[in-house]
Amino acid sequence: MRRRCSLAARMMLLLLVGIVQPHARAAEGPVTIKYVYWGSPQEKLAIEKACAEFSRNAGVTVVPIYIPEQDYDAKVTAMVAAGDAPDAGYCTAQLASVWNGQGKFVNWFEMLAKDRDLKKGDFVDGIWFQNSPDNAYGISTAVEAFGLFYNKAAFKDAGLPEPPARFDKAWTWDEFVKVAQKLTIDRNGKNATEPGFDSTAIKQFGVTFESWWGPWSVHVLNNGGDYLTQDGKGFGLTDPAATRAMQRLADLINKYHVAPNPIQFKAIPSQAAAIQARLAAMSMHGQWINLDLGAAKANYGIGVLPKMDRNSGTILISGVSVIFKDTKHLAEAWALSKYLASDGALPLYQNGLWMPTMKKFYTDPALLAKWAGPDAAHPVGFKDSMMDMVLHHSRPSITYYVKNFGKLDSMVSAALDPVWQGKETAEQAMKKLKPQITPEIQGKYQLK
Amino acid sequence: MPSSSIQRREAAAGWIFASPVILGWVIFVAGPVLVTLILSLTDYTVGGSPRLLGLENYRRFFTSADTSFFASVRATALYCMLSVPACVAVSFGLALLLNTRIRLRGLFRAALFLPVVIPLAASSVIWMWLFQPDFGVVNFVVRTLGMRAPQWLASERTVIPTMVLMNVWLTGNSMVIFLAALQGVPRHLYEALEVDGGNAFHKLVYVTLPMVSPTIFFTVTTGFIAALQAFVQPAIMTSDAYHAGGPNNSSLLYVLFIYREAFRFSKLGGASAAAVLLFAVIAGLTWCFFRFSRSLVYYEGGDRT
Amino acid sequence: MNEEQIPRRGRAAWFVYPSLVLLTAIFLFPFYWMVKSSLVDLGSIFQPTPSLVPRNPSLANYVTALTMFPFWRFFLNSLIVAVLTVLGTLLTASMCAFSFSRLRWQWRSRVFSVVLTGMMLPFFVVMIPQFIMWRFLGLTNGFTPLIAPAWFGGGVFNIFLLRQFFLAIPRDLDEAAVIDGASYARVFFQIVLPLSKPALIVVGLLTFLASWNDYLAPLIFITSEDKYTLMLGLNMFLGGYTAQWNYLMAATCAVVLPSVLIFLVAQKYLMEGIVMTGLKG
Repeated sequence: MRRRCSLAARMMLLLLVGIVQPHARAAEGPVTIKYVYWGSPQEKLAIEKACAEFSRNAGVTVVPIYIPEQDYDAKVTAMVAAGDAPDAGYCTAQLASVWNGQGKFVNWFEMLAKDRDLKKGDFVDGIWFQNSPDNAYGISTAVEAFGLFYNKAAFKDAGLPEPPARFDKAWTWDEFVKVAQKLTIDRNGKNATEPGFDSTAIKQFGVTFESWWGPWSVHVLNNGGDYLTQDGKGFGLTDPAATRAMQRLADLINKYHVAPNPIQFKAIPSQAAAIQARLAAMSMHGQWINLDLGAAKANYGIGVLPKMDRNSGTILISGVSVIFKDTKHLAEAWALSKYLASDGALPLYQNGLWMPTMKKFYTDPALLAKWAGPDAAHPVGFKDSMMDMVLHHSRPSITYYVKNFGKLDSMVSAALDPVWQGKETAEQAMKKLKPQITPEIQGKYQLK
Repeated sequence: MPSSSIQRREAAAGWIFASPVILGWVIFVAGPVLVTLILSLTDYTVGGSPRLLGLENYRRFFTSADTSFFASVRATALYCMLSVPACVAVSFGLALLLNTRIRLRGLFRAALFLPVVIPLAASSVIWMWLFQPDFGVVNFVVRTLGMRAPQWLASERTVIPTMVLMNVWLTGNSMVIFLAALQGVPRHLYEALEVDGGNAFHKLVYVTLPMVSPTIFFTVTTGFIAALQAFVQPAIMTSDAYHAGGPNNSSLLYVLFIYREAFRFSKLGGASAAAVLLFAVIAGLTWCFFRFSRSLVYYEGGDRT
Repeated sequence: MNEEQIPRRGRAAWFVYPSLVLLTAIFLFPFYWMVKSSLVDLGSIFQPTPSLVPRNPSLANYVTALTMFPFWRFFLNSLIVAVLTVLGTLLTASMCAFSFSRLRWQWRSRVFSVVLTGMMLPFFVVMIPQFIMWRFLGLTNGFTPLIAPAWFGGGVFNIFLLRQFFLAIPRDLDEAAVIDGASYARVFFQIVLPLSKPALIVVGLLTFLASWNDYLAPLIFITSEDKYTLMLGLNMFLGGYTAQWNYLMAATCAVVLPSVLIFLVAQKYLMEGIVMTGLKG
């Protein structure tokens, strides 16, 4: 009996300790702001370092809150619902478009107009997430663009010339397909141009690309098509320019067998891993994989995307960094956001994950030398295939200007599944989708 | 009805002992469920103020061009119908195997249980890798054996059976519960049967199954409830940040559907409606199970309820 | 030494051993793959032809993964939460199961049916209302939201499970004790609980694992990193565009180790405690 009592008492004590101890109240004192973000371990380290640096210099306490991206929506929604919203940070595109509609974000243009150090013109064009020509609800967290990444050894072994890095030398689509065929090798050693090629037992694919909106929309836009019609009211993907682009991609999978079905490739950890291990010789993907490829010291290069009917080009793509209007410390949140869009982000430019949003990093030779290589994460073709393309031959991706993008995208992605599987043509799929999707179209944001 | 003091004491004790969960239900279930019910009648998106919509959310699921609701229901039903019998059968079979006199019994038991110790997210990733059609280990073995390599998670037709297969690997929980139940079967019943000339099959059917039937009932019921709420596996194995639910929505299991509605589309009203429907289905199923159980389940020591 | 109750005399059927060996190999293979993947870099996880032997194995992933975040701090957090959860569950779930199975009171089956509905909701449906409630009470960013439900019945699953076990125990003992004047508390603590050791061990083990592996609740209720649980820490490697699976696998291996050890230890008690005395002839 006595033993039982003391056991109960000990349990009670443990319980109290477990509850009471963690509830330390935050000290009243210097301003504290909460910054939410996601990313790989390197990104986490870099952001934490930048926030600590900023805290030291500005006399503000920044609490960086790391949230894995796939749970970002759930977590931040819970925070906002309970009145515990962050002051600034990353935001996913779909959540941003919903909350932007509710006026939850601060206008960057307004802040820049009042700012003493920075002006809108200091930034690269096309990186703003805008409601209208004079309201930017967010800034691109970084500049990212699409390119053609490739494994050098695969090209060497096949005796083929590497993809061009210069815009004016871009391959035509047919040239590109031919190269991809020669680089698609089955388990018997035959490539896709040889008779007896077994497309069910491929050991190395010529090219791979993912099936979310980024990798295919870049080709649609390059080909002169667009998500919505000019006036923003109609569904634009039924136009021939768009369907031809999408169909060509699908043909890579089902007609020429040089690319894997994106669904079957989902298990592969990343496009970087695919290139590194030579599961594929080429990948049409985004700049950020420089981080992984650089860290692994892979033997790779970057070229420009092949052109379709028109020129090669690329799109700017990024998550959005925002400042919440409900913040109680606007000046501090603004200062932090500025810092993270410039000098605070230098380590991330250096390791290849991000490209700068500010022009000075591209034009000032001293700054360029600090981050643009050539090094493990910025191979020789980087300046042409990425920087040059971003500055001169790029346009904002569809998330920047299509309203209700989250919903539209889920419908388009679902409709494209049979296209990637070869069960429908792009034209059929988009035509079928048109009546269902048209009611969901809410127009475009005016950027200029 | 006569209420002696013993009966009153017993009734009082009944309430007292049950008080934790009753309180817990009110705080952690009833309140939130009520909120969910109310939200399901609105168009609440977090941060906005909800407008009352009546049954519009429900109507939208059943009638509008947004057909992924039915795809989701189909996928979930298929998954449950395959997964629950498979898991119950396998876990029971494993428990039977382990309940024999062999050496290294503890080792085998540990090995078969161990899969549930890994966080579900990590094991989903591992199986996703193993099932990769081109470079994964499973197809490597299949090809070496000379058979055609299926697409596993990448094809509409095979994605659900593949997830069921992976789920069967995770029946350690049920297996351990069955083991405990099997250990509780009185030995004298088996001995009596042996005396009468029964063999192993008779023992199974006339002694083991009836004595273990409460546990079978439990496993089937909770198995269904869990299968209906499967989320981590379809989310990790067949979805990504942009596209939930596998090839052509064929693995858009219901809870994934709710999650997408709530957090990708920010339609908490719609998500709440979908959750209310799920709740109703589970409640209905459980009620069916309990009614059904009276004729099938043998309880040695208590009132059947 | 207590011997396990083994109902069959004589040798096991011929197919038992080979089946178990084959099953064990299959069941443990993913573990091997997980360890193998933790020893190589991201690009080597997949090769054009899979191989059992890792290329250039090294512990670099472990070094990065375990220094990325304060592993021991997270471990301690997870442990505190798990232990308190298990205690609460064992106590309250068995109390409630006792009430629903062995005490007769008028509303019993109706209340049980109602309470059962608690199992039927995915967590993130009730998550936001619960979060608002905890915020209102000022108890977010602590372990209370994670532990409290365990002390209020510990999950209907456990109550249901224990109830099934209790129903299988004959009532003669209870009734005898009550007639002799014992309080229900004594019947509970001194008769029913000791007879239910295997069930309680199972519940304790499963509850521990569920708490240890829980991810969603800590994600929502804990905001400052020094209170993160181990699972939350693990998910830091899933960076969206660039998921660092090799680090994740290394961290997972490190995290799974305590679970495995606890299970192996618990197994020993499972073996020794399973004899149900007083009932077998």
